[in-house]
Amino acid sequence: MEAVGDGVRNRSKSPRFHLRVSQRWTLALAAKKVVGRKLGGPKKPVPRSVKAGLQFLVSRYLENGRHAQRVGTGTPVYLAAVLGYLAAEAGGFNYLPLLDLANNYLPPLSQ
Amino acid sequence: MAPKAEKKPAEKKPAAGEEKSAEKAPAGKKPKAEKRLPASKASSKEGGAGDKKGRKKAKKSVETYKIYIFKVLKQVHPDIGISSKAMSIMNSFINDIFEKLAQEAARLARYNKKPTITSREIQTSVRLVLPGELAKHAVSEGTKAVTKFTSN
Repeated sequence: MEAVGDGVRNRSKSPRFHLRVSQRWTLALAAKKVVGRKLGGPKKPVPRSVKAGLQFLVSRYLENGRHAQRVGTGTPVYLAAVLGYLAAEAGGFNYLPLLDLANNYLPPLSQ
Repeated sequence: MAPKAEKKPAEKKPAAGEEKSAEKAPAGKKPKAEKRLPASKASSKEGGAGDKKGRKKAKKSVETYKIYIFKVLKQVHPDIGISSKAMSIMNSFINDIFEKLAQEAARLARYNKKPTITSREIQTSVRLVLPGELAKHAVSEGTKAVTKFTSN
């Protein structure tokens, strides 16, 4: 009687264990799919001006072979930033040159 | 950033007054400038004049910096416009500075016997071409832009 009872208990445990394993596997597969989609999904092209946070065009004027055979990736970004800053500056928009002159001005020596 | 913030409000007021007086005189020009820009934006990103010519005579499109200069102006002074002649002057100025920096960078690359113009060459060119505080601020702007570009 007791032996038969133990046998029944052992049998009842094993199917539960199998179910749990299958559930875990399903969840793992789902997670992999989601992660794969996020990581490997097709990337939309983003303009370099937006990437760098600039208003001026990040272009390929340097790459005509007139100035150098090769151009680094950061070069047009840097140049665009400088040109944008100068446009704001020389257009009288920030008025820094006036301060620059003021700083350089030396008061006449009192006699 | 702090010193700039401090400097701007003190200077904006008299300059705004001056620009307002300047703007009043060529009042007729404002609508022309405003009309041209949306037309150029609608047809293509590059020059409005080129587009108009293209429609009539099927000429090649002309590339200018005008829309970008306008964007920068709207960033700094959202409610101020710019005349067409002033815009042409700014466009010429940008082209001039571009040529100066590019030629200086090319010269630097040649001196060091390297075939590549990198942001380092441009930085050195900026320091050589621009005077004083302009160079300092320009270098910081360029470095900031490259850093943001790299991180994205």
